[in-house]
Amino acid sequence: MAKQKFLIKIVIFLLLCLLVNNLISDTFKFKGVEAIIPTLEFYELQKNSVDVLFIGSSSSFWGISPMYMWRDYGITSVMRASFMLSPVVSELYLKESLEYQTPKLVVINPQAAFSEYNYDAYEGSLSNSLSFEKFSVNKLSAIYDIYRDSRYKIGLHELMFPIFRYHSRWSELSIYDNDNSKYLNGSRTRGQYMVPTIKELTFQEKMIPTEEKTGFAPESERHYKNMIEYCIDKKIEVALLVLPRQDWNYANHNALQKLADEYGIEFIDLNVIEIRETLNLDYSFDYYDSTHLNVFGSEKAAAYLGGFIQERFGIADRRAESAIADKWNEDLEWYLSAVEKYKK
Amino acid sequence: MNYISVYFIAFLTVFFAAYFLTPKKFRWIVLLAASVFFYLYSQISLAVYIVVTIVTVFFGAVILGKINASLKVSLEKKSEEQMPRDDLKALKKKLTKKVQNQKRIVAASVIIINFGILAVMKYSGLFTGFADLILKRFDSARELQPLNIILPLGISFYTFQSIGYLIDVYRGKYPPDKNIARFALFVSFFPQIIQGPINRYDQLAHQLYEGHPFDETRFKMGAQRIMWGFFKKLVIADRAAVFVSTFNADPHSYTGFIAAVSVVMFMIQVYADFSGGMDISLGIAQCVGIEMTENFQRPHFAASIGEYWRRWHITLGAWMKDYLLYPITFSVPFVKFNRFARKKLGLYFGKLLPPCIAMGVVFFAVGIWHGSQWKYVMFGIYNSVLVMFEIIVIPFIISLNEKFKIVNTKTLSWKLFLILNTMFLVFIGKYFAMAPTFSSAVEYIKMTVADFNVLGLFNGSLYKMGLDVNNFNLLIVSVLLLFCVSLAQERGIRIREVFNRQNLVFRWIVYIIAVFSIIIFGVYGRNANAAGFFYGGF
Repeated sequence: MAKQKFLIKIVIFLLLCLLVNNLISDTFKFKGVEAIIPTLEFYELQKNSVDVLFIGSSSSFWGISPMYMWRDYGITSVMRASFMLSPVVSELYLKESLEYQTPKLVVINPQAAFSEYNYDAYEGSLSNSLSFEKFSVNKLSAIYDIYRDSRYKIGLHELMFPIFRYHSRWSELSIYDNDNSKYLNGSRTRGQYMVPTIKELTFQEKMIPTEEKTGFAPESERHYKNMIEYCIDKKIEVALLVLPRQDWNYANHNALQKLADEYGIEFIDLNVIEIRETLNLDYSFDYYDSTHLNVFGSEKAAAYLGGFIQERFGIADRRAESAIADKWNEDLEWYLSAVEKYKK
Repeated sequence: MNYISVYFIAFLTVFFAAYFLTPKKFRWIVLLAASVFFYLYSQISLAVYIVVTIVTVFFGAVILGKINASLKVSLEKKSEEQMPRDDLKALKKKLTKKVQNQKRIVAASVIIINFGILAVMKYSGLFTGFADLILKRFDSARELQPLNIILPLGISFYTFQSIGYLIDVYRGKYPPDKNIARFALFVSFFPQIIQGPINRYDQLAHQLYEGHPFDETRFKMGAQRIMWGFFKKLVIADRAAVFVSTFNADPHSYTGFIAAVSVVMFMIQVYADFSGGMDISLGIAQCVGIEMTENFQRPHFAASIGEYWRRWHITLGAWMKDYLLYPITFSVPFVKFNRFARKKLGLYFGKLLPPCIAMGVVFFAVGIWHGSQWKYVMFGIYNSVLVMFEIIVIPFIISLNEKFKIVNTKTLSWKLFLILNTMFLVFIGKYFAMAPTFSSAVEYIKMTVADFNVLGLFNGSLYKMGLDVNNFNLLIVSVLLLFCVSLAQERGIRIREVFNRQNLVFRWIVYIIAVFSIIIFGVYGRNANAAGFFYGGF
């Protein structure tokens, strides 16, 4: 009897600790762009208000502009991407996003499928991209996958309870850490991280035709296949996308084309010579570095991408729908003025 | 398995559940299984060494026990025989001497095997260093590479504990344990394995073998002690360690003032680390109804070096006293030396010199127990000299004071002076413990004397030692908290008992604050360099 009573006390105490953890945990989390933009800003959007969902890592995060696609084609889209986004978290983002939005098309950037995720090197980005994601069965499953895929190097307790990961931030907390709205732009970029930095590049042709196919890393490949199959099961159109990058080659292209063919889905490779020439990118202005477009390059990518997906997938032009257009146009105005400031 | 890990918390949870759900008769098996699991999980490749110790000491003690028993029977038989008293006495003496020789051979063999293993593991560096020096005299081109030996977990602690048991059986203090599994538990009991305490068989063993019922108050007290231990280790010790390691990484970039502060931080680190580890170990044992020997008694309140060492690592000091000091002082050669000293040096010095030398040997042993480097030898010599000075000179000073009434020794100010004086002497000794080598310790001392600039307190240099302002201030506040708790304990206030009398809501608020203080302010995780326990390396 005494033991049972004591056990009940322990359980109640642990529940109280859990409650305190839930109250203070957000304060300690890192409020970087890779934490705020893909998650907190995503949930600022009106529910079921977008037709296209983009999922990807940093090249998508910087290089895809939903706002330009709205401006040019009236496409409502949102990005869920982050720096060094792991395939596990990509899959989590997809599943959680489809609980909140009902897009007609999901566009996945699967370039991380060629290597296993380096959990040691990118643990920080991983934690940041995951920390604000709400607790759910999908998140628990992702946590288990990360724990296992990282060969148990990343602590389960850190993944389950971010306070263990971010506790040392106590010495740098400010009053803003208690109020996430201070970090948000009201989702005006629709998930894009606007990067104005310009790096002048010298173009090097790497897209030399070949029959070779780059091999996928098994665990990464598994997650991308899960994502494709998830969309197909939910009867949502899905496509693969790779943005312009100087390290891309035909062997990579062939591998992803084969993957797309296996599922009978579209593969949009903006590195293919004919498409690349259509984009008309300026190598002295449109790139942040050799593998990432900047905000100026994202305009050109959007110009092609928006037109392609509207035609290929019948994505509606919603500029005439005042119920949603007012908000989009207001945010577009903010976005364009921000770009102008960058140009200066 | 590191105490500072989620795996350890999970292990403890399973352990406590298994212990209290198992019938009392078999609870010792749960302790043994947990200890075996803990050891193998931590270090399966080196488990053979603890097995060798368990087997050799167990069977050595059994043989000694048999010899003791047969001697007793023989003596009783001889007593019953009709013979003249003197003849009987001579026969008993002869029998005892013969048996003593047999016992010595057995005990010495076991001791040589086990201390031999310890010596090779811990002091191979010293031996190869000497061998290299000798080799270079003959062939200067050759160089002996030091052996890269990983110490088996807890080897110093379990070796001393086992040999203590063996010597007790040798002395006939108690009969040997007849059950090797139970003896294995005494040696390997997991709360004590990493860094002690060095327990005594007659105090610990029966507690291990008896199954203890669940007691909520006792469990709570144990859990409170574990939490306090984690606070000392994670919030204080590992935070102070950042300051110390920053200094040690590039000592010549800093002033003598910073060197001195680093030594103070090192003192804080080692005390909080070691005593925090003890709190965790003793707390775990208390939760399951086992009372292990206390290893610390607030050494920062010691009024002399001798008292300091009676309050610091108490069980090592007690072991050295019972198994090294007493055998030395009661040995025939030493008794003879005692008589010689009194005859030649007079009553005062003649009486003090022998115990002085014995204590000197003991402290030298304590020094090299820590490691084979010259800095530990120096550490031992330094403390030996201080203790010998106290033994010889202090009584003389006290009698002078009583005669001439120079100071009133019954005042708080005098007590405070003695405490600060002792801490200062300990502080000097810690230079040798903190520095990586003996020569760097000497460098640090020179730096402190030559470049001691108190302005370092105000120019922000303290915040450039790996701890920003907030972390440094938190460390100061935590140390003050530790000091207040120590002061209350020193005054006899039993804090946990007072606390447990408070209302439930208050207690739970304190528990939640304590738990989250450890989680938030603890130095652990990816960005921290929190290692295992400092004394776990011995």
